Amino acid sequence: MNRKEFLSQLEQALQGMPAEECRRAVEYYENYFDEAGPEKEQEVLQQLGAPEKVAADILRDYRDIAQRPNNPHEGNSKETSGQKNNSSMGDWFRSLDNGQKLLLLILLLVAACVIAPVGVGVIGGISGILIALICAVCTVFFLVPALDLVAWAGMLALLFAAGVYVSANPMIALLLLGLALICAACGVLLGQLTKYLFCAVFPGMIRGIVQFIRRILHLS
Amino acid sequence: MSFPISAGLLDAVVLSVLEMEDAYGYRITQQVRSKLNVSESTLYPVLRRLEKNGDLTVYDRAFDGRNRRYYAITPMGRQQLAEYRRDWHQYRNGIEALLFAGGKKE
Repeated sequence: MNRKEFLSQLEQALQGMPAEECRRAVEYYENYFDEAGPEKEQEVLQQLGAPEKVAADILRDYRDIAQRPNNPHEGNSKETSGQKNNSSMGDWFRSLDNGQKLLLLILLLVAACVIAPVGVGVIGGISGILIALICAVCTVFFLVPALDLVAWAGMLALLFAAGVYVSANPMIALLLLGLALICAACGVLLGQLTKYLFCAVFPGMIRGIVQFIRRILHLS
Repeated sequence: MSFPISAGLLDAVVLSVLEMEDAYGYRITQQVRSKLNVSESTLYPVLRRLEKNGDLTVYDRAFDGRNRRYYAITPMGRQQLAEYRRDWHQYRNGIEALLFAGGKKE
């Protein structure tokens, strides 16, 4: 074999590649023979081996590069690896023929039919729990001030009753006065709890919910 | 040889050869082959890959009535080479620590 034969066989073996790639490779080896000089031609030919093998090496490397387009330094950044996944998914879908696409569509529909009832149940359950939680929280927020009002009202009623009984039966009046004081104590405690709920817990919850929503929006 | 040369290592070797001065394919091959037992057909795919990655650029110069295609390292290639050198030190230290762990104890 001589240089000319080697180069033409190489060109033949590289036909699977784009013309530009093929031309570059052949030019490289033309250059290579030029640099080695005619006296070393046989030596170089022997070293290079079969043009088909040389071509196979080039083709293998070319395919490796082609599999990761626009991504020279793979693994250097996280964003690019995500893009790579997307494109390989797209490539995979494009590689299917129409029959396979139809089959895939049917499979997806069947899967949707099976998953939909379960999904509705799960979503219903979750929203039910959420609504129950919201109601419970609202109840606490209404109940505490209401109990507070009841306690103060009870105190007033007991004081009034004690005033009524004070001449007829001083002992009962004293008992009613004691009960009124207990109601007042409950009223003070519930009042403090109401203040705590509306000044500390309520703003905290609102802040928590706002942050939660903001995080979800940032994630997506 | 017991240890085949990986693609990354070949990239690093070629970038190192081109770090000092631009060179053409034949010359790069001779320089690498003077130190390492690689075949003459090994380097074209390496050069083409590095060029596509933007680590190398090529330009043509007339020489002796024909064309000579020179390869030159880019700033990105230099950055990549620095990274390869860091990786290599780490790799070499790890391998040597394991391979010669027995000898050092004596």
